[in-house]
Amino acid sequence: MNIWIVKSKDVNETSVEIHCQEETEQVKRLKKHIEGYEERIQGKCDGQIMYVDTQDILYFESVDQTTFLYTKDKVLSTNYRLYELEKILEETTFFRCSKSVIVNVKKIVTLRPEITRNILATLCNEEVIVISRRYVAAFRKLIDKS
Amino acid sequence: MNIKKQLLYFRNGLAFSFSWIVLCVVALCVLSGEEQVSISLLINLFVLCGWASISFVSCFMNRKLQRKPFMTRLSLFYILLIPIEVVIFCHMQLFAGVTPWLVFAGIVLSLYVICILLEVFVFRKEGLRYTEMLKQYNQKNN
Repeated sequence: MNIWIVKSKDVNETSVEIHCQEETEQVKRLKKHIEGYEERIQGKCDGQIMYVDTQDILYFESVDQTTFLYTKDKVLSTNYRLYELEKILEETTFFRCSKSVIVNVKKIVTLRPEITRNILATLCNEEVIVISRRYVAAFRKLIDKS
Repeated sequence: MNIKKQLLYFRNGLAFSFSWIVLCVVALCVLSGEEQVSISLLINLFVLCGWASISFVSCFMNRKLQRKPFMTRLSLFYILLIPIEVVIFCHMQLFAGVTPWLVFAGIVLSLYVICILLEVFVFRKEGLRYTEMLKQYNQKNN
């Protein structure tokens, strides 16, 4: 794959073009990865609307019909439902680990399987997320791709 | 988890445990030739099942405690259940002599030790393996 950067003073907005013979799975993943590069999620905290980079998000959690997003130092509510977030977020980075949680896989530091067949995932801020037993097989498939 | 769900789990746990324990008592009575089951026995068993269900739901179905390691929850469950169980067994005069108590203690302790051994020798190793797989996955995607 060759990559060029073309500078032009006439350009108002940075854009990316992908030249390919055929739109393969790899090309689609590349496109999704580029689309997600500057992705931000709108959230609300103390009545203020804020935009959070997806890279800063630790996990999303749905509680009582409201979705919250958690960063290292903030908790914001968002209008997105979990199924909507699953569609827009990078699937290699954000994983639905239970009925009510989507976790950022890059923020997981350690994993600990349990006798109950759940997995306890410790995040970079020492918080613990439960990967439900129903989602363990899919999670194992995801991280085993390497 | 809200109160409604916890109460549902409690109800299901109580119904399941009490119905099975009554069936076992009836079977035991038939085998031993006893013709009747006393109400006080049933009440004691009901109280035991109720407390066991409350302890189980509090330790294993509680949202905050779900994020704690299994051994922590199991230890808490034992601390909540065993003393009450012993009191109820004494009240029922279920065990005569020291030997049955030793057998009871042996069963409880051996199950606890098995869990510890599984935790140390199986799940800790699995955890290290999973963590390594995750590190490689994140490195590849970075």
